[in-house]
Amino acid sequence: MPNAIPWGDFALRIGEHRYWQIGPLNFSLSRGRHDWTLQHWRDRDPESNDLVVAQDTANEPPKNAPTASATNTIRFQFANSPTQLSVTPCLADRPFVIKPDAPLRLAAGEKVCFYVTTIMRLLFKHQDKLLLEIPVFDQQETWFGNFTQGELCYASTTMARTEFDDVPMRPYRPITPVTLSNKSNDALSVEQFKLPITFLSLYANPHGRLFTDGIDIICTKDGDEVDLRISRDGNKRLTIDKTLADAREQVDLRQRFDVERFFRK
Amino acid sequence: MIEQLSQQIASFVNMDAGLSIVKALLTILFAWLATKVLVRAVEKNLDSKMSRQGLFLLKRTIVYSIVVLVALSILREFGFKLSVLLGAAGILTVAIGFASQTSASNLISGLFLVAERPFQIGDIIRIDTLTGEVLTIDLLSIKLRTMDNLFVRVPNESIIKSNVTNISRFPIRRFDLTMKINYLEDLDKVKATLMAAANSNPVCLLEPSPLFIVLGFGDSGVDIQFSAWARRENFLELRNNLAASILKSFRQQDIQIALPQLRLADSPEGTEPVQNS
Repeated sequence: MPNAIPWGDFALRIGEHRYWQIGPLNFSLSRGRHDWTLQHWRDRDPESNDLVVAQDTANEPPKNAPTASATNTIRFQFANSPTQLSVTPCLADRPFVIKPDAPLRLAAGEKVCFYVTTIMRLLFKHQDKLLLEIPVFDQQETWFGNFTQGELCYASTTMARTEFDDVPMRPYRPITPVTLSNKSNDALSVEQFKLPITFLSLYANPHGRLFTDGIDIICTKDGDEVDLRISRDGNKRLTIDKTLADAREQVDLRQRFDVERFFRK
Repeated sequence: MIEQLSQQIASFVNMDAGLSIVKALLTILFAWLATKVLVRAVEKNLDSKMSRQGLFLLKRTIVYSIVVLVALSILREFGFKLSVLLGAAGILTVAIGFASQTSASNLISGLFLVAERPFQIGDIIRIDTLTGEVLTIDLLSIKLRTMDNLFVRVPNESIIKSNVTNISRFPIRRFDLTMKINYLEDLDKVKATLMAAANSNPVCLLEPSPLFIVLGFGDSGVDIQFSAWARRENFLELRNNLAASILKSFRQQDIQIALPQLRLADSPEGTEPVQNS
């Protein structure tokens, strides 16, 4: 079990600095008299399973830390630097287009639940005021729609695992239980589907594992529209400890969506 | 008509002009304040609801309407009869129309541009070889800021007659890279290398997927085109990064880009060189 990620406020004395490693992302915070300085860099394979998560190396930089010029450096300026800043996770700012490792085919009337993971982002805040948001990993982008109309999304692949215990432990990747329901009279062929992650909230369990609301994507009876259902108890095995980030967007679940906005067949 | 106009001018000279001038100045002041208030109210309330182009047109309409109303009001204050003025304006329009055909053409083209809306303020457009950001769309011309920060005025008539490319209309763009590959190279390996270079580039979109096209057999090598998609904002970054990463990948995979070459051969034994007659 990886270390639980200590999200929240971090206090530093003037001249002190601290390092974090979260998945592929390394970052450090240091406090000056009138500023806090953030340095971040990525030097590891994001798909690797043996990542060190939230290893607090206190005041010592990681052994493989690059020189200051090779990192992204941002200075948060204040009249007098506050004693603490908060570091919290949040979900991605755009939907994900999820491509199963093999195209799925869902028979008429069938329903399947599987688990997908996405990339989280970090929020740096001072007294609930946002200073900066950075992704843990620069996820590849993709376009969902036709050439003239569509939506920019992040691209991701999934093994579409139906057993929770089979999902690899990567605590920097929040888990989303996705249920696909086919209420139409024909089989539903899914080459890719869009996961509207911006409609979901982010939670943590007592072990520090991140997960989101569960989402049901329901193909309606006539087959050309989609209903969405969002449920906090998508997976009862993931005991909610605390809510880390609310959904970025509120969606009216009474409306129906065009099926092409969610499925690429 | 000229006689009536002369009478109007004569009555103007004889009237008590002082009071009228004060009234006219007050009208202008009031109109100026009203314009300011209206334009600010429009900006404040409709900024998020309308496009920049729509807001610009609405503000212009408000300003021009008030200017016309004030002008008519002042003329009436000075005793001019509008019917006479409109008659004179009709004759004047014909005269001006003959004298300024180009301006009239630009004006009509401007109306078409406003109605057709091929681009809006803030769009990046290309007219023939000129590329720039649209600053304003006026009735006679549009104003562009070119990429090297020059201010260019383009008459509306020439826009109507030219091919206009709106670069910022769609959110994604394709970058086409053509290259010549040595005939000895394995094209499957070249394709796989190019695809890997594109997929490892974070600004290159996964979908629409990159495109590999064999254009034909050239003089020194196989002509190919590799196309990749990016967000409009990332187009320049894709253009630079992709070319650099392709070159790097080609070096790693030992794939050679064909260079122009000329093969010389000794003439076979027994054959005579061509003689100039």
